[in-house]
Amino acid sequence: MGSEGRDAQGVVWRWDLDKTYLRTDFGSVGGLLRAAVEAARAKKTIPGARALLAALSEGKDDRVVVVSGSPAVMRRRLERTLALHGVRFDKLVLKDVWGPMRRGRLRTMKQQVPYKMRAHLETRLKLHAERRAGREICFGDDAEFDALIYCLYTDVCARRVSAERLASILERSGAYPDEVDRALATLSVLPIEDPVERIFIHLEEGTPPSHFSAYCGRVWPTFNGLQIACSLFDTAEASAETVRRVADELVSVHRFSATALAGTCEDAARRGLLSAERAAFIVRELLPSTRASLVGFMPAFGAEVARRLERSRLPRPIARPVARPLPYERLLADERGFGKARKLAREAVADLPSLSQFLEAEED
Amino acid sequence: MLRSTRQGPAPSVVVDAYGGERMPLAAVRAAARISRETDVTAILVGDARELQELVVRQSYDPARLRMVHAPGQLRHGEDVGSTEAAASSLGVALDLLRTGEAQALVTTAPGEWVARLAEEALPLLPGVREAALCAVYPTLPRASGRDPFALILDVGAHHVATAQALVTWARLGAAYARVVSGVAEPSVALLSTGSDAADGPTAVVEAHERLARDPTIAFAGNLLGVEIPRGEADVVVTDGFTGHTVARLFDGLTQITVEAARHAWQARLSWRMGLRLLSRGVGLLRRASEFAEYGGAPLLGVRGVVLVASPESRSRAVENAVRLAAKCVRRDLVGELGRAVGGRDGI
Repeated sequence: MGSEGRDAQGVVWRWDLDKTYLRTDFGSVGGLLRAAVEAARAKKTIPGARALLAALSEGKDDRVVVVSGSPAVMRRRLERTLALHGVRFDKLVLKDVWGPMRRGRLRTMKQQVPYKMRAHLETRLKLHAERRAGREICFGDDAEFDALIYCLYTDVCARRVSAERLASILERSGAYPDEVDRALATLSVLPIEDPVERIFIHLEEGTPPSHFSAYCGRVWPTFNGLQIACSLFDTAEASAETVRRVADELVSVHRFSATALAGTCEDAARRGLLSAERAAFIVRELLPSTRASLVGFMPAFGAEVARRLERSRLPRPIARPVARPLPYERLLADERGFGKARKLAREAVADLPSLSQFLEAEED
Repeated sequence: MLRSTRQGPAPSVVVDAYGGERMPLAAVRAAARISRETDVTAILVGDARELQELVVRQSYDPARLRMVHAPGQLRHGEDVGSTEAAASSLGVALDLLRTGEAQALVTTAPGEWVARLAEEALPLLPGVREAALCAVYPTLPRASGRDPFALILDVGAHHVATAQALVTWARLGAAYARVVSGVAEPSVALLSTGSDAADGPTAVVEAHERLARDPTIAFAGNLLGVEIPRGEADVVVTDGFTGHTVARLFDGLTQITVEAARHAWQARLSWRMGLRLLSRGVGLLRRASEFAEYGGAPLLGVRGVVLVASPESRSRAVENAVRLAAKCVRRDLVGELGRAVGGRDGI
């Protein structure tokens, strides 16, 4: 994945919204309605995402592109939400649901791959037109096909995946013929490049991190904004101040304790999101000077966590993956199967055993 | 009506990831579920690389799942004072408890090993000379309330018990039943060979005399072995050798009962229909199988919450042990135990 022109053009931060930035539940009718009528200030965010995106959007040369599956009728509300959060964005692409619905295209409601692929390619083209098409760092979640879409997007841009194969994948994903044509038309005028440097996938649905090993090291699963901030700090994409701001949010808004912050950093280091040395620096030098100190993350605590990080048998951070196309057809089938299995498992989960209830509760 | 007992800061429970037959996978799965479903922080102790390979295959929340590396595992016959014992997963876990980084410990290592190492690593409560290992067992409904399980101690920490030890354990067991089972006045009995005060070995006779005069204990006298499952006492006190034998007998009977029910269910349709008709009786069998998943029983007398789960524990049992440990912390079990054995301020 390339990095040409990184300093001149800044970074394009490509974000999804639902379950990556906002805590929404589009899986149920109630959740959909709630998201539609909820006031901007009432919208809940993923822990750390608000401070992280606000900080990233402050980069003078950087661009923030948001491609979301939220219906276009929510545009004003979402714009207000982002403004309220101090997030500057350059492009906000939302899904046109009503147009296709009027034409009887019911698949449009559910399908994500064709819609997002097209949106990513079109926004990339616009960035080129504005001479702002820098290298990209992408953010998605585990609810849909974000990991697959971002990987496919960069392989398509680099032409590691041909137009014919893209058409076939989009058709398998439920695209209508004119949607395929539109994506191919955009691709035909897009310069050959390798824009995506890193892909962060927020594990909102509780997917095990190992699930993403199928993406051959291209995807970095994360549990909250602090893990992303730490990882970006490790590669100098984010400042120490960004890490501090995200930690502040976790403590003051999401009630993270000192052990929760420590656990978050330790996990990030164990999974190679950053080096153990860098993680030790963060817990020793940065976190004690944030609001984390109010919940007991004092210098002595940070030093103890750092000492343990430095002494632990941690794997080295993941090396930059070799750029080669992934088996998208199989990945698409696997992701569908995984999604169905997860849904079935949730439905099958019974209440905790009565013994657990006894252990946790008592009668009045 | 049920209400949550979650109060105060969320406890951290250290989970020894080795020792049991299904470890470390059972510990990892339990810790992952605890991190997702409760506010308790689980700290896994063991070989970090091996644990990490298992953890990333689970759904978990790193904000409530931590890991501490321990280079070794406790081996049978290990000297409790050795460097190897201190560096074992149980040794490191006990150290986390001693330093206050965790408030409770769950392990599936053999109870006798845990008792020996814990007595070495943790201070005993004032007034306690020997810690006691407990076990829980299902009984017929008891007058004291809804907890289907009663407590027996000691089940192996100290094979021989003095009268003083039996009296101290009676107080500890009663305090545990008050705090954890919510029994206001738990009945306490001594296991013996006859119901008369003069029956049994000298230590039991002497302990009987002292407990009968103790106003803080609802002493139910001596109990015969046959009376244990009838639920005639909430707490049964005996020496470690006898207690261990009784506890293992219960384990064996439970396995046989569950296996027999399972066989009957699968073997013939008519037997299955019969079992349906015997639904109340089946309820008792179900209770027996829950007993197998109860999770853990405490080591009482040390300054810290130490729960020992069966070495055969599955992940659900380990999870229940962690939940029970958190409950003990939230209800200040150690403070209550300290007060029960004479410490003015608990500990």
